[in-house]
Amino acid sequence: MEGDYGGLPRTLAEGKFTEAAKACEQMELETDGEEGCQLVWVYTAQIVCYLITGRLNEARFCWKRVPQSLLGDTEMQAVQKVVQTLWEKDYAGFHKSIADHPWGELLLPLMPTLADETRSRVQKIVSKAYTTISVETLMSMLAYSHEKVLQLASENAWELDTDKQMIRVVDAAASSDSSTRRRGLEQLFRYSQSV
Amino acid sequence: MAFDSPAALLGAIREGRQTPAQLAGLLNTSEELLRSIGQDVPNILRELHVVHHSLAFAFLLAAMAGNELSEDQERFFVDTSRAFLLSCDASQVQLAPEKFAEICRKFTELMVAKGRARIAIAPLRSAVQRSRPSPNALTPAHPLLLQCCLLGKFYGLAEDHLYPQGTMRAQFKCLDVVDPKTTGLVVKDFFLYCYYGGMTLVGLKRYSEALDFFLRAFAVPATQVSAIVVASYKKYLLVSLLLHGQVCPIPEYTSQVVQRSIGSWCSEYLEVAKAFSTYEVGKLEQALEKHRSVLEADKNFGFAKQLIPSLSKRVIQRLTQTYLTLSLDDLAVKGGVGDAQAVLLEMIEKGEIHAKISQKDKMVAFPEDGDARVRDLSGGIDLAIDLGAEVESLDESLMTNRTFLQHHVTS
Repeated sequence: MEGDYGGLPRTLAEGKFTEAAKACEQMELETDGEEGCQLVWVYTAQIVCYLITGRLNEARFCWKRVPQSLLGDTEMQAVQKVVQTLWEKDYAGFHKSIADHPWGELLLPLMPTLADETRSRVQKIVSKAYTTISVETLMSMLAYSHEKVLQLASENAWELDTDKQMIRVVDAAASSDSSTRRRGLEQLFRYSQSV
Repeated sequence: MAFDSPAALLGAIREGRQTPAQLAGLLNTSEELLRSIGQDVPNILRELHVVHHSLAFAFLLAAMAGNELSEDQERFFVDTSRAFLLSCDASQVQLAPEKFAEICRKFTELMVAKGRARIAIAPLRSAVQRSRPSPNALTPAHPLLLQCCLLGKFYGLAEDHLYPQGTMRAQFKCLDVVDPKTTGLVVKDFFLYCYYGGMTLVGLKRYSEALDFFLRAFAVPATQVSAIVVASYKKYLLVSLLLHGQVCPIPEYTSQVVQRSIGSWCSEYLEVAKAFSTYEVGKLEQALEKHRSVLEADKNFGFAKQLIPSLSKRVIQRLTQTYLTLSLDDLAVKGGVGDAQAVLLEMIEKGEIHAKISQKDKMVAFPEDGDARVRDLSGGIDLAIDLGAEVESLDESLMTNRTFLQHHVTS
């Protein structure tokens, strides 16, 4: 798995994950031969980029494209584990699968990004779906320590219940403010114009 | 004046005295010669340059595509077409759109038959880029590209070629059908574009957009029902069950013949839909099992099985209309799901229901979501305004189109 990865590390370092995934896809398309591209990193990096940008379906299809001959690779299997846990929404398992594998030089810097992106997605779901959630559940969903969960709660102005086991979730996105009212006015203007 | 021998043909092409348009005219009148020299095409092509002589290449390769090919000729055709599609000169091949389409079709057919769909993707993508007269025009290469992308499981790449560029991925938008004389497009190409487009979006789980694509395939004005129309309607049925929990009615503007007879082609699917409407998972499972062979033959069984978890969700969705709050345990029993919280989380994330879970009391509340309704409504109004503006501009462009006026107004 040595090599210069076709300029990929630079694109990744600049945070251009969509472009990086496209570049990997292009390498697959340019490969002749029936067996497909035989470079592990073309698939693993591509899958991780899809996951970071929230395109789970495409990650899964990319996984399905991996040639038989590469499925035995340990990094490939580790990436599969990551995809699978996310697919099953097993967030605790997801963080464990990231922590468990000694990632290679290309993927290593990507993993904290993926973990953070996933955390922020989970956090959004939590604030949308819960009024109260136990500290314990949050700890496992985010793979956070007790302190970190409490810190997160205070950052979001989520209150801790009296027994210290439950957190009262406040959905910041739902509370309306003056900006939405202003938007409403703009809309009204547009409607009246078209009529 | 038509060419009368391969040598004259080759000479004229290489001399390059004619403009490409003149050459196209000459080649068009030499159909007979082109058909008769099938065997010699490889020899002639070897004398020509794929970029400088793209137009001649198109005619000669198309002549080859029309014939039965031996194994050697097939290999030559595939290799040459691939290089041709990847590097030909756009302005030249656009003078012979039908020839170009013929090459693309034959090339795809051979590649797919050999299980090399993935390798065909890059040439076909290049073919799309080179053959479209405008950036958003639908070409015969589009459905072929989509087909190969689906076979190779490149769904994201297929999605890049479904919608007009630069616009938002708004609903009700598809690529422009421009004058077929400039693209070589036939009706079947449009059908397949809609069908494969729908399949792509189903794979990406973007069901409401998929529904739109399948709808387009069978709502096209038609005088008879084709296999693609039936296949599209079957998928439309399944997607609409998944998305809306019922079969959306066929729009009134659909052709009479399709409206009247489409049901008789998919009675099994309608039975599944009926079982779905009972809200009983058992009955749905029975219906699916009963028609398993038909569904499997259509390669729809795996997709249809997704209806089962979807029905549980429907049941939960209905509960939100009955109850204001419900304990998680009750919900699991009533909805027939194992882990109620997991299902709720998924549904809330996708915006399928509006609910709030309280782990403290082990309850779930279903509050009114006024904001969501306002959002839906204003989204709908925005869309209507945009569409209205588009219809108006289309109307204007037709009313100022000389050909249209001559044909339809004065006569």
